[in-house]
Amino acid sequence: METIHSFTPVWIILTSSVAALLVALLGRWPNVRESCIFAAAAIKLGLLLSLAPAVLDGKLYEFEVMELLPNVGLAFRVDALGLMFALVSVSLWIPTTIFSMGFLRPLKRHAQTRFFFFFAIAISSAVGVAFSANLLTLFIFYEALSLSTYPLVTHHQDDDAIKGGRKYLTYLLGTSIALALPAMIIVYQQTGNLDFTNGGVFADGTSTTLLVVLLVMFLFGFAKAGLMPFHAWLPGAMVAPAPVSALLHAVAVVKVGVFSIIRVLTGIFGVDLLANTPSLSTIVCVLAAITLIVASLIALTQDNIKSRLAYSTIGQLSYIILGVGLATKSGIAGAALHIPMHAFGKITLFLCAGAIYQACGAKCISEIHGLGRKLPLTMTAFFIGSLCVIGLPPTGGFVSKWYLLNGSLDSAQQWAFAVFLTSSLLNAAYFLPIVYKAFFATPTDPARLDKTKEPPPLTVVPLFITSAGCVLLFFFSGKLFQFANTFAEMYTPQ
Amino acid sequence: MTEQLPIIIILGPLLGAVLAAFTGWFRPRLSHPLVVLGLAISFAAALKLVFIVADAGAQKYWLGGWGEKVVPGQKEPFVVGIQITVDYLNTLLLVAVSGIALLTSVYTRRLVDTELAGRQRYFYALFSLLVTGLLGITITGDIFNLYVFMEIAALSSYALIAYGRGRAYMAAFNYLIMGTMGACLYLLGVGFVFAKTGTLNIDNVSAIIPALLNSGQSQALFVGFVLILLGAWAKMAFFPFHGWLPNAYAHAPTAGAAILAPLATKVAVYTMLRIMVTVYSIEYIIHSPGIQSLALYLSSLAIVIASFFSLTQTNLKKLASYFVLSEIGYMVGGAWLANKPGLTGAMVHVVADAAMTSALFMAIGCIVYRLGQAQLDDLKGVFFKMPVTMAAFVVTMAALIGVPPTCGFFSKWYLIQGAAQAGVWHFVAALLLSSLVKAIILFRIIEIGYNRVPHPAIEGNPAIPRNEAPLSMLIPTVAMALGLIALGLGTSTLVNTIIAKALPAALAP
Repeated sequence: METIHSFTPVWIILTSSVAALLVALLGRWPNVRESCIFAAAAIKLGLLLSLAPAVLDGKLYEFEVMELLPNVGLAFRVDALGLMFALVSVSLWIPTTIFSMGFLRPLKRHAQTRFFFFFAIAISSAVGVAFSANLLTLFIFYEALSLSTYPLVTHHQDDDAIKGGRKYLTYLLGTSIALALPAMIIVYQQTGNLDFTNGGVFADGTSTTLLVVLLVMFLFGFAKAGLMPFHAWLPGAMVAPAPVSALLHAVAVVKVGVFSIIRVLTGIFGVDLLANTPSLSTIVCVLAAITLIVASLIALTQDNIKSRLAYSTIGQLSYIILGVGLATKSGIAGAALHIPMHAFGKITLFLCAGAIYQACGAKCISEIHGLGRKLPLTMTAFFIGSLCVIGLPPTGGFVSKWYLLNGSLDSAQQWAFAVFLTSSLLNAAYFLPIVYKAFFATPTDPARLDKTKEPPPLTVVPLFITSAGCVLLFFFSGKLFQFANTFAEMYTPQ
Repeated sequence: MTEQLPIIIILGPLLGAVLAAFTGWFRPRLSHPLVVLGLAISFAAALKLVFIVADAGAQKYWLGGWGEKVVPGQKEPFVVGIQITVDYLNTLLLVAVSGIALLTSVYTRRLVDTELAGRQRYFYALFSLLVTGLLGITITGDIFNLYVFMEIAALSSYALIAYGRGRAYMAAFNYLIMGTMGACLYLLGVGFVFAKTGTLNIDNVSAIIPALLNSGQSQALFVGFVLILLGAWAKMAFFPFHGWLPNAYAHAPTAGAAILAPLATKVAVYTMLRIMVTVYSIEYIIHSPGIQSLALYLSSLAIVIASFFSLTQTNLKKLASYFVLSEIGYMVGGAWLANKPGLTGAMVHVVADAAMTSALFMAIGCIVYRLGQAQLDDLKGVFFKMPVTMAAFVVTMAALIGVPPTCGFFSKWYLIQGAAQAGVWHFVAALLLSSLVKAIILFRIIEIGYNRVPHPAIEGNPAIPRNEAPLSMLIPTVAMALGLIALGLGTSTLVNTIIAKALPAALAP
């Protein structure tokens, strides 16, 4: 593999940190403050796109800032998966910021500067995770992300927010310190190497028991991925304002968890090792499959829109883990592709939930009967978003699920095919009734419905952008597939 | 001039102490600047010596020119007088002690003016004398001389603690009993070593001991080792000799706690490391497995029990004292793992923990200075009143939890790596538990101090006026907190250039 020594990855990470500083300094002038964010996002997006051609060519951008431990440094490496993830997070940062302006300003929410400040820091951390060249660097940004999102989760500062925040930290910090950190240190002690390496870092003949223990510690240690039983933080984090749930708890934070697991499975264990050690692959697949089905079933029972979305997210994250666990080329490509596809679908749904709340204060599905007639734009966006998450054409979710299903047939774990299909049916079962009720059911509370009107443009425009994204990803999935395929080819044996 | 640097390290604070007490009679205002000046000289000398040691290896200095003498029939030249040594093992700690003392001396002025009005000069004299003792323990190359400095440090700290209010006398008395016992045990152990080797010089003792052990005369040396070890453990408040510490530090004047908590226990840990690594040899440690597993179990217990008690505390100062106790467990455990990462971790952590504890007590001192007390319930809204102080506090707590890239993360990394290599899983579990407990406490404080008050920016809520600590306190606090991050990023460099060379060559990688 050809590598290019370049400082650009560091610049990309720093742009949003600089934006955060400017936000903190210019907090008194909201318009200036938010223009800084848009400028930073645009610069960031431009820099990311400038890396794309070489990365798709199979080249890697590398930069080591400094050594932290013998043979392990604060180092960055941009490959196809990392670049794709960074692109998704940053491109969705723009509509989310527009939405935040529309959502927070009319409600006269307090501490907006703090909100935008920590939001920018969180984006920096997520991109830092995407660009990490080794497990230690990844861990540093992983923790930075947990800490920087805590003030966002507790933004309302009422009892619920404090409780949700407490749960958030207990799960995320607790598992990362108690499981992921020792697992990482044991890997370092065994191999002296934490770089993500094609083929893994373990020497031949490492005891399977040790590998199994480490694997389980990593899977549960990166609890941002929401594998059961360490998933309860995500529904708890739904106390956060809608834009936070949308970008962080449907895209950046949860995908960072899954991303970390992908990195560990492909770069630390190695796809070879997974494919050739049945117990490892089976553990990943079984844990993910259980979460997939159980989370979808729980989602069916939730009346609160955001918690139904949260359980849906937990299930969809396990699609990605299951895809990598299959240890086949199309499985890994499908898993990688599911990151952007699910991101666009789920962010649309969360933004819609925020828009519904803003328009009429409804938080529960039982409150939105007949709302479709009053909020046609919002509910249409919701419909497109749910198609994308279910995996129906003409939306991007169809493409990634297609590759995942292919991957399950190529692998030794063919039962995964049935799991994927069952779960997709369940997805349809918990999303489509919402749309149906909104458009066709008799209103339960006509008085409220009369007062409802479509929310302001700053709220609706982002919905349009992201739902259009869902559809465009179906027709232009080829470009994204190149990213996913470059990554899968790099890490699977030829 | 450079050959005089080692003695200048001690002379700075010693002369500072004497002059502060003396000029206090006719010019009370001079005491503080004189102490600061003495410490600044000492710090500069210590800093210069780090570079010299990193380049040229250990620097030895013979007091009064009473140097080495070649005795017929002995391989090593025999040292007649008192030797002081700056080598890879203690050079970083010398910088840490003198640097923290310098910053703390600047920091304490406002605190002392309010807490100990009228008695400032005694405080500064004792402060400087304490630092003299601590630097002396660290720099000396003579095990009896170490005892002398140990007493200088101990006597001045008893007096410093007794300056506090309320139950401070009782706390100081308890400390005095325990501290005196520790010093006696240490001295008794030195007696055994002297009886067998006929010398007190560390270089000479370590050259003679292996031959004695090989010829089967290990009984007396073993007793001596155990006595010295127990003495050091009592001095550092290692479980189960820890009872005196929380009260002593919580009731001491805030300014006194700010210098005692970071340094006194760390220097005692250094004493243990010095005895383990250079006086006796690391093979000796490995071949006395009874003590090794005992020490490791006690370390884990120390961490677990201190963590448990820290959860139940309602007073910030006492809470911090329990943190000190659990950190002691880290270092003792790391040293007794007796492998490369374990010892590296212990040595890094001695410096890192000195800095972390110092930053912690400085931040608490700022809070106490403004709020007048340090009960957790009194912290409501403190994040709005003192945002800068609390930012430093959060960084410090992050270092104590072990959040990268602060120094606490890297020392803990080495410790866990060492424990994993030795297969001591209970120590790994204890370390992780302690991190989690500290995380809980940090967020408990954030909840009380930030989330539990109506946000002042919302219309209709009462405004919370800013009331930041004075700059002379704030700047050292912030500098120390930033230092934790710098130290973390520099860990790799320090380990490669200095600490790796302090490890005994006999260790397995």
